[in-house]
This record gives sequence, C-alpha cells and structure tokens, in this order.
Amino acid sequence: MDTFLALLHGFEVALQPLNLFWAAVGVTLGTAVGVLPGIGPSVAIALLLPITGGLDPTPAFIMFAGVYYGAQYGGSTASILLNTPGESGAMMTALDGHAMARKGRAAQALATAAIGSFVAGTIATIGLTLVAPLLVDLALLLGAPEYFGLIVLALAVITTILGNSLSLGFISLFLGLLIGCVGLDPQTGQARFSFGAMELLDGIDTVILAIGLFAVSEILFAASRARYHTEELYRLAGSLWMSAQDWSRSWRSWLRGTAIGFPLGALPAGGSELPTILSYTLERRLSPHKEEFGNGAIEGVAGPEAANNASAAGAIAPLLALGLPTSATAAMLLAGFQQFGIRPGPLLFETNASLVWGLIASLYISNVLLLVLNLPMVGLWVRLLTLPRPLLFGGIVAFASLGAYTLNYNTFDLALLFLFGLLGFVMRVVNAPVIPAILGLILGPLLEQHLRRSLAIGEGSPMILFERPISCTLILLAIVVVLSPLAVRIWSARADRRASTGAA
Amino acid sequence: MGQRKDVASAMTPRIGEGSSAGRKRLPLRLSGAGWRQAAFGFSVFVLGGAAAMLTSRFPVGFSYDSAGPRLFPGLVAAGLMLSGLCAVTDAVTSPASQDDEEYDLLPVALIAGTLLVQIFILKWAGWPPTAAMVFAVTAWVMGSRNLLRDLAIGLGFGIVTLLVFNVGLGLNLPLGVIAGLFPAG
Repeated sequence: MDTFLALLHGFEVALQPLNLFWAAVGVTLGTAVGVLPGIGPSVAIALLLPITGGLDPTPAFIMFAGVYYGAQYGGSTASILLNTPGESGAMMTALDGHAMARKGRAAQALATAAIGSFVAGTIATIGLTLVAPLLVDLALLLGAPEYFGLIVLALAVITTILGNSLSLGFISLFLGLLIGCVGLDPQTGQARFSFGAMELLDGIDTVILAIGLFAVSEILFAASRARYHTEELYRLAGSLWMSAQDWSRSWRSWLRGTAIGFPLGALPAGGSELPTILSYTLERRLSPHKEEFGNGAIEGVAGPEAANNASAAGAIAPLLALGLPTSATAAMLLAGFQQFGIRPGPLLFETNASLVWGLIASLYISNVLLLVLNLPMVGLWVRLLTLPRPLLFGGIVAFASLGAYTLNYNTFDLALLFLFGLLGFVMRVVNAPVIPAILGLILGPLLEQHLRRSLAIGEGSPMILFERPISCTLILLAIVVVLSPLAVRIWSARADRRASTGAA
Repeated sequence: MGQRKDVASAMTPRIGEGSSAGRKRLPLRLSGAGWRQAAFGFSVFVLGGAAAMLTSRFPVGFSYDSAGPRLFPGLVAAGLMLSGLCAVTDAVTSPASQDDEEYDLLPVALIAGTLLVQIFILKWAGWPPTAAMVFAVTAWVMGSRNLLRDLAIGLGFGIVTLLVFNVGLGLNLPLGVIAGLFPAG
C-alpha cells in the first residue's frame, strides 16, 4: 500500500503542467535524436544531458524518462526503415522489421513496434513499481562483498555477450576501468594517472567517454567507410494500419516479449541483447509461419521490440534500487544522476522519494505521450531519415562537441572527446565492443570501493569474498559466464573433429 | 552500436554496392584485419605495462586502508596486459578473416583535425564560428559540395544553440569575437 501511495504522489509530481511539458519535450527530442541513423538511445541521452543542466533535478529526470522511451522508439524506426540499429538491443528488430519494409510493409512494422513498445513499457513499468521496493529491501541486506560480486557478475555478462571476441571485450572493459581510476583516490586522496592536470583530478566524465566512443567514433568510422557505404530508405506505402491478422499475430508476441524482457532487464546483470535474442528465437519456434522469419515475419518484430522495451524499463529497477546500471542506456541515466550529485541506491527512496516516484510515474506518462504523439507524427520522423547524410553527420559532430564542452565549460573536455573519438574509431576498426568500456568507467570506482571495503572487513584477506555464500556464488557465476564461450568453442571444435574423422 | 557493421553485412543483401565504387579513391589505406588486431592488442599490452609502472609509484602506507590505492589499478593494469596478449594470440592463431574491409584514413584525419583545431580556437573565436567550421568540414568530408550553404547552416545552428544556452538557460557558451554584442556578464 505504501508503494501505491508513493506512486500516487509521484503522479501528482509528474502531472504538474510544467513537468508534463518537460516529459513531452523529452519524448519528442528523444525520438528525434534516436531516429537519426546510428544514434542509439544511450547516445541520444548523452547528447541531450547538457540541455538538462539548467533544470532542477525533478523536471530534468522527468525529461530523461521521456528521452529514454522516445529514443528507444526512434531507434526502432531507424532499424526498420534503414536497417541501422543504433544499439545492440535493436538488432533483432532490424532483422524482420527491415525485411517487412522491403516488402512495402514498413507502416505495419512501425505500428507493431510502437504498440508493442507501449504494451511492454506499461506492463514493465507496473513491474518496476512492484519490484523496485523489493530490490531496495534486498539491497539493504547486501554488504560490500556481495556488491562486489554483483558488479563483477554484471560486467562479466555484458562483456561476454557483446561482440564476438572475448579478448577484445575484456580490453574494452579494462580500458574503461583504467579510465575510471583517473583522478583522486576517494579513500586516500592520492592523485592517480592525473599527470599533474587539475582537470583530471575530478576524474573523467562518463558522458565524454560515451559521446566520444559512440557518436564521434561513429562519424569517423562512417567517414572512413563512406566510399563503400550505401543504404536505401524504404518509404511508407499502402495501408498505414495493421490488419486484423497483424493484430492477432502480434499481441501474443508482445506479451511473451514482455515476459522475457522485464525479468532479464531487472536482474542486476541484464542488458537488452539477451532478452531480444531469446524473444526472437522463441517467436520463431512457436510461429506457424517459420518460413517467414528473416523475410518479414511480424512476430519477429513484435516480440523482440516488446522485449527490448520491457528490459529497458526493467533495467531502471537495479539502477534506482542498487545504483547498478546494467545497460549503456541505464549508465547514461546514472551519469545524469551524477550530474546533479544524486547517488541512486536504497537510500534514494528515502531521501529523494518524490524524485524517484516522480521519475517512475513519468515513465507511465511518457509511454502514453509516446503513443499519442508519435503514431500521428510517424511521417515526420520518416522525413528526418531522409536528411542528407553529410548535413546529418555535420550536425552530430557539432552537437557532440557542444555536449562535451558544456559539461564543465572547459576546452580540456574537448581534448578528451578528441582522444576518445580516435580510441573509439580504432576499436570499431578492430571490431572491439565499446559498451564494456562505458560500463567499466561508470562501475569501476564502485567496484574498487566495494573491493577495498570487503578487504577491510576481511582484515586484508581476499578470502572474505569466497567465505560469504552470496558473494561466492556471484563470483563463481561470473567465472562460469566468462568461461562458457571457451567451453562452447572447445566442445564444438571437438564435435567438428569427430564429424570429420567419422566422415573420413 | 559496435555491432552495427556485423548486422549490416550479415543481414542485408548488398544493394547497389557498385554505385559508390566509381568515386575517387583516397590514399592512405589499412588492410589486414589480423594485423590490425595484433597491433591493437600489443598497444593495449604496452598501455597496461605503462599503467602498471605508474601504479607502482603511487605512495602507500596508509594504515587505515588495508588495500591501498595501488591494488585496484594494479589489477586493471594486469588485466589490460593479459587481455592485450590474448588479442594478439587470437589474431595470430585464428584463420584469416574473409571480411577484410578497407578504411580511408584521410577523411578521418580531416574530421579529427577539425576537432583538434576547435579546441584551440573555441575561446577566441566563440561558439558560432567554431560550430560552423566543424559542421561544414564534416559535411564536406561526407560528400557535400556546397560549402557556403553548409557554413551558413552551421553558423545558424551555432547562433541558435548560443541563444538557447546563454539567454534561455543562463549558461555560458563562449562568445569570442561577438562578445561586444552582449551586455557584460
């Protein structure tokens, strides 16, 4: 009942006309930026963070909620029409969504994505409302060793799932952790890796790394490949509405996608890749139209898109209750919290209840706004996609430098942006995933803090991490996760060898 | 985002690939995915080594902190060296990749160079002209050939954002050469 009252209060905050206005601004800007090719929800939030710098925390977070869902929706529009998923969570949507667009069914693909996102977002936000307070109770039971295990597991899952090379994923992760060490050591006040630069003593801002690794490097990469790059935009044609058959084939997929996406997103080691892939696989297995998958099966859009949105909403639970972002997008929201000096975690629900519940309530509202504003405006978003690429890219670079500079009004940050842009370009060229670096930077300081606290509890002995059952289980799970691709590789190599000797 | 290339290449039939081939080739190209990964892994290994060396120079001896400021960076440095080495071994042992793409470095250098110039002239020139420069150069590199129009669009973007930030939100983007037009402060 407490939760219900708190939520009611949250709605009271979120429904104030001015806050409602910020939610609408957030949804619109989020969609507009998210729809740009190659720009995923996390970059959209990173680019829009500086704009909220002049606002109070509550309206700022209400706007973030709008941007979060808006960018999610915009991203799926770009995936469907251009086949440029801005983030790994939209990859599965792009498969059949783009195939539908090629067949002239872009409008139906966009509609099932939008309505599916709405259904999934609403159910998952209800789930979030119920789960977040439970996670808070759980969080209060966890000590430093358990937190350490949890973060290790989260990083292990994300690093292992992303990309196709374990070593490159770990390089990315350790680069992020190293960047996270820059600045004053919070416990002893020692300057680390600061090379005498005043600007580095405070550490490096996650937003700069994110804009550099995501946006700037994306432009540099596109520039290096411009000669080879072609893409085709599929316009909306024919009926813009979903037929009765489309509806009947979609609704179960929406619900199944939600059922997969929310719990996996809410787990402190989620991310959006696993739920979308699982949902796609499940839909293909259950569908009577298996042959359509890959060629424009509507279930293949409805399921993963719902799973993507549900996991996005789910990811807000560990973010708010444990202070643990489990996706790049959630990491950007955490960066937003840090911008206001607010630290998410169990205490936030007590110290800043109206902000937390206002944020959750505006997630409901943004979801409705998204449907109301965006379905009629789909033509406008599609037109945004037809902007000439050179102008689009020029705008993104100008916007990226604006975002980096306005963080601290310091050209030093522009120099960092330049370095991270080049680093991201090199990482893209060698095909190393960049998301582990972002999460490494944002979670690194927490990881170190909990490690040192654990060692203090264990009086200097690292065995403390294995003596407590929860932390021991979490760390062992992390090891299993990391070793599993190796095991699969060895196993399949052995199977190959057996098959080839059998054939000979 | 990092996976975009894979998806695009794996899932789409390459439509109209020939249409861009006629464009003039720029010099400076990289090739050989294996070599690139090996070089990347080795650089990361060296970086990890450098980080380890710096870490060993952090002062220690704070009795109230049983782990000290060296432990975590030391672990990270070791992780960098190890994963860098693994990337080199992977590159050497795995069979040559079929998907050997080429990258033009000149456009990359042009855009990166503009960002570098921006760092030094932003305070002096002010935000709008800098924004115009960044915008127009990027657009030009990406194939736009209407420099005057692009400069105008970039300048317009710069002026609008300057007004939104400085007048609307009360923040301070550098005015530079047009500082005289605004009342002091």
